[in-house]
Amino acid sequence: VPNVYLKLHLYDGSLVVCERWEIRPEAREIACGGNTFDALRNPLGGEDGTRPYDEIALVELTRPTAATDPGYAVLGALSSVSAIATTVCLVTLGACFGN
Amino acid sequence: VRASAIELAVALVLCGCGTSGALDRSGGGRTTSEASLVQVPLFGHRVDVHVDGVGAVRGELLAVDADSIFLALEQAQGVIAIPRSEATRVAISLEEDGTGALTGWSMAGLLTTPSHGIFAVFSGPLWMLVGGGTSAAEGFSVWTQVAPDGFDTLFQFARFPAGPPPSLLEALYGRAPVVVEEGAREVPTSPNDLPPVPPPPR
Repeated sequence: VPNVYLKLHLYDGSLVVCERWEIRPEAREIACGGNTFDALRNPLGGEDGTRPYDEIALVELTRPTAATDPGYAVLGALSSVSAIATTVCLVTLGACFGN
Repeated sequence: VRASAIELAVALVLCGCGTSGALDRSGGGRTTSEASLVQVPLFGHRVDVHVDGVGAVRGELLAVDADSIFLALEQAQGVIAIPRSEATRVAISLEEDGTGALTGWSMAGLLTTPSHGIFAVFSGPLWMLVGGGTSAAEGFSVWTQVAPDGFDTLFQFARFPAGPPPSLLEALYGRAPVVVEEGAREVPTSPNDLPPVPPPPR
């Protein structure tokens, strides 16, 4: 599934973020390709191997999203109108600042 | 049993019902776009834990267990465990708080209004109204409040959703936690109840 990632929270607090994965119940392990981070979230490098169930405290499926705040769009529109008003006033000084 | 638990956890998350129905991480109804591997969140959410007589303690939510809420303090280095019984409510920042940026943008816009000449009597108040409104709406949509009866749902916003790892407890209490053997008659309930730390091997 595109843009869906599997996070393996390990008992020692470290985290494995899997871009691709395969759950193998018979072998009691999860094969994972992605990145590994320690408990402080310092990167430990790439992950391309298997993690036994015994190391995993919690499995989390995540689809990260980047939010677009409508407030920025509103202020962007107001800024555009304001800039146009400034330009008009500079071009026709008399209209805004009197003669 | 653990294998079954992991399979169950995956199944629950896949079907979208693994977390509390009342409080989830889906955010405040904003327009969103899919993100890449490097944008997968690694840290806990920013929270304010309100404690009677102390006020709000702000930090990153590290973990929650049956007794405590663990935070990485924002103003000072270090971690803290706040007893759940002492917390009156928790405010969670569901997304990055853009209130400061929007307020700054509004102030900058307000400062440009003299360039509108006599029409600044309209554009000035407009900037104040729209800027104030968007900043207030941002604060309202980003932060959500959780009462004590919802503290069990906080784990989904924590850096360690499975509970505090040994390294966190060691940082807090200065020693690794004691593993209680199955069938033990008494379970330690506070760091003072723990047995003394053995001397390091020679």
